[in-house]
Parts: sequence; structure tokens; C-alpha cells
Amino acid sequence: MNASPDPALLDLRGVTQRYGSTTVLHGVDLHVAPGETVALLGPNGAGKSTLVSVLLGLARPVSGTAAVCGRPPAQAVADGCVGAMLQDAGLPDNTRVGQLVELFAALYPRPMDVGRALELADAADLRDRPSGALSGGQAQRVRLALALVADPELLVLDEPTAAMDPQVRRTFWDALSGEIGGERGLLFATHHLDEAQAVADRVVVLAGGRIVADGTPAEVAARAGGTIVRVRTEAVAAELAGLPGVLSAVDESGGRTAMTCSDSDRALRVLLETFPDARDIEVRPADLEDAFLTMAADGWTTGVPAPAEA
Amino acid sequence: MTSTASTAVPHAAGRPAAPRRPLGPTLAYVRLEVLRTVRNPRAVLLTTMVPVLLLLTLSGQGDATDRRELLASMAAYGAIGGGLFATGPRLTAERVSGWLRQLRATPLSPSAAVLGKGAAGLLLALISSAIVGAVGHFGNAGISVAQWAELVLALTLCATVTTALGLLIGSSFRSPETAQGATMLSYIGLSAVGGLWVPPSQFPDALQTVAHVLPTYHVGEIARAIATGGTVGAGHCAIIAAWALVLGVAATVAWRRGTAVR
Repeated sequence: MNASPDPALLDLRGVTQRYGSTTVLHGVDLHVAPGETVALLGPNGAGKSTLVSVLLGLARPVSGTAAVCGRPPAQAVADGCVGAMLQDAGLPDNTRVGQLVELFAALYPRPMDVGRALELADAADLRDRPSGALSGGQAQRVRLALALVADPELLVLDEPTAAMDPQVRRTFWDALSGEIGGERGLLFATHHLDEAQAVADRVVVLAGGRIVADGTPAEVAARAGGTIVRVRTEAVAAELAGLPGVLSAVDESGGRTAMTCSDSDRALRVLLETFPDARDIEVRPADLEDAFLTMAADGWTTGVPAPAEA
Repeated sequence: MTSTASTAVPHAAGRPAAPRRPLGPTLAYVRLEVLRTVRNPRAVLLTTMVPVLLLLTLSGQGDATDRRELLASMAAYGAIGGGLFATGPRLTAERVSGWLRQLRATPLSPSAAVLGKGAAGLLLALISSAIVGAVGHFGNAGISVAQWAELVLALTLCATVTTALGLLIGSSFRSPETAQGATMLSYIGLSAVGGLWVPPSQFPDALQTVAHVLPTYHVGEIARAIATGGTVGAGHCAIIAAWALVLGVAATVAWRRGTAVR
């Protein structure tokens, strides 16, 4: 009776993409549910932009299936189910912001009111401005309005805050998590890990064309091992890495050593006993950035990082 | 795999498939391109300034026929510049900046995008030939309003050749600067060798043979026939149409390659 189609707004299964002999995506699975905000992280060249191209129907995967709102990506784009803000897509000149947003409204079958899209994107004041003379942050707001005017179920933002200063970034995300959000799904790629930590319900890490982590920001942060202990001591990182409860240790610029700990209490007790000169000690839970660095140091392998080998 | 096309099954997000509206997006895009062309006085100036100046400085010599032929050549010169400059460098800039990729992520079809750019090229050709034609009508060439209108119409149609060439250049180069250079070279080369600056009858024989192959020579012949009250040869039209077809196909191939997504 109740034919319940896949509720996912985005459903990628086993997507593999190849250009010539280079495989850019290796069997990627990715889901975004209605109302969900998903951050896509990864080093440069990880395949993020290719992934975005596939889910917008701009590139057809070699194998695997891609569905957006339960239909092929190109169809979803034509139906206005997905609105995209692509990485550094320049705006044309000799026109006004309002005219560009009006153009996009005319391209989609069921657009949002142009004034409303500009308002939601915090770009209402830019409506009469020449599109060629905007600051980086202003242009990003206009691009968001272009993506929003489709009134899409799924909003795809590729590095939306790249050209924004911190204040503008905060306003941008406030707008997105507020009125714009709701049942809309949001997938965004970013290099700002703090953004992902603060905004995303889920974090997906793509590296070398593979998903190497997928979970809540807390879950993915836990991949760094739990707790970071920074300490100033004469001992070098290699010595500290051998302490019980320590997974790894790295010498940092500034003379301190950062230890990633699975059991920071135990590590601290032994540390103070073994190296009495230890001082300036800072203990904090690992965050996404630590996890990112740990995964990078491990060569972007999947799974929990192995304890440091003796 | 599974068929979810049936209307009985609600779509995941509850949004029905869009009704077919093949023309709405295309017209909206063509309209924007037209507005952008009209709003760009720099491009109009770039394509009309040289022909108008040449016309004013050279029209003191020769008889009435010479003056009309000069007017016709200069109007043709303006029109082919319109086709080239509204497309070439601007298209490259929009391609390189990622704007065309952003457009591809909308329901706008690639052919509609080509159509919009083509419309911009023809419109600038129209504006350009109309301005140069005005100098001919009010100046000492003394063409009639009907000839002026005929000239504008014919040259706008002829500008499909250079519009296609502009689309080819715009899709092929990697930086707006090189595209600008290629556009300039084509503009000057095709105009000079096509006999729009100096009548081709004054060329040495070898160069005349080259000139007769170029589309610009035939565009000039058509314009001169209109301005002097002669008959427009069907052969000239056929050669221009052939050039437009070849360049149009090449531009389409280049456009596809130039906007292919990685």
C-alpha cells in the first residue's frame, strides 16, 4: 500500500568516476536526508568537485548510481529539486544582480519569489548593483540567492565561504541554519573545519576518491583518539609517543609537543613522573581539525587509527 | 532499475516532474544576453569607432559610387566586428570564470546558451551596421532609408559567419586575453584581406584569389550591391551560408569540448 520511496534527497551508491586512466572516485556512497546538513571535507584533489559534478548531472559516473530526490541528477536539476552554488563561479558583467536572480527564477519550473531569495541570502541590498562590481563576500551572497531561487529540496554549496571574512561567514551560516533550512537538505564542501563542526549534522571526509569517515562531528572528531594534551618539555615527541595512553605525539612550532591520547589521565600521571620538567600543560577534547590532521598523518586510511607501534 | 516515473508513486521530495516548457528558459536567457549587449557601450564603441572614422576621413575622394561602396564596406566591417566581439573574448571570460558551468547546473539547455550568445553577436552586428549606415544616410554617401534598412538586415544575417567564428574562438582559448588577441587578428585579417578597407580590385592577383575565398569578401560584395542599387548575387549568399555552416559546426564541437566538466 504505502509505497515509500527512498526518502533520501541525495543517494549515491558505488559511484566511480574515471578520467582517462585516473580514477577520481572509488565507489562512493553518500546519502543526505531531508532537513540534514552534511559537510563534505577532504584535502585538495580528493574528488569533491567531481562528486558535485556527478550529483548535478554534469558528469556521468563510470559505474554506480546517483539519484537526487529519487530521480536521475539531470532530471532533478531540470525539475528544480537541486540548487547549486559552485566553487568560484564568476558572475557575468554588464548586468545587475536582480536581473541575474530573475534569470535563474525564469529557468526553474517553481521558483521562489526573487525578492525573497535575495532576502534569505542577505543580498536584498545588492539587487540594483552591477554584477561585475561586487566584493568576494557580496558575490557569494548573490550566488547563494541564485541557488536558492530554484526553491530546491537539496542545496549544494561548493566552498561557499571561501571569499568571506569571519564576520560575514557567521552571518552566512546563521541564515542557512535559520529560515533557509527547514526540510531542505544541505550538502556543503568546505576547508573550514570549524564551520563543519559548528553547522553540520554529519561530516563526510573524502580523500583520494574514497569516503574515509562519515558520522556526526563528534564521532569523526573521536577518530583523532579522544583527547589532545599539549606540553612543554625537554623530551622529544618520540619519547612521549611511547608513554602509556598516548597514541601519537608531534613536535609543534613554539616548542610544545601535542600528544593524541586514548587515556589522557593515565598519560598525564606517567608524563609528570617521567618528565618532571613538563609544564604549560593544556588538555582538551579532540576536534574535527585534530581528526583531520590525524587522518592525513595516517595516509587517509579508513577505520580507527592504529595505536602507535612500539 | 526501478521505475518511479508513474504518477501514483510520490517522489521522494514530493515534487512532481516539471512540465515541459522548452521556450521559457531559452527566451529568458536570450533576453538577458540582449540586455547585456545593449548595456555595453564599450563594445558598441569598439565596433563602430574605426569604421565611422575611416568613413569620415576617406569619403572626401572619388565619385558618388565610390562613396557608396566605401560606406557599404565600412558597414560590413562594423557588422563583422559586432559578431566577433560580442562573442569571442566575452565567451572565454564566462567559460573560464565558471559562469557557464553554473548555468549548466540549471535547467537551461546548452543549445539555449549557444542561442543566447549568438543573439548577442547578431544584435551587436545590427547596432553596428545601423550606426555606420546612419553616417551613410545623413552623410555624403546619401543612401536612401530603404537602402540603409536593407543594409542593416543583410549585414545582420551575414554576421552569422563571424558570430560562429566568435563562438569558436570563445570556446577554444583558455584565457580571455588570448581570445581577445585571436579575435582582433581575425577581425583585422578578415577585413583587410576580404577587401573591406581597400577594394579587392586593387589587390595583386594572388591576394585577390585569397580574398575571393574569404566570407568577408562576399559580405562586402553584398553590401556594395545594396548601397549602389545593384543586384545581390546568389553565389555570394551561398558561399557565406557555407562558411556559416562550417564555422557553426566547428563552434558547436568546440563549445562541447570547452564546457565539458571534469
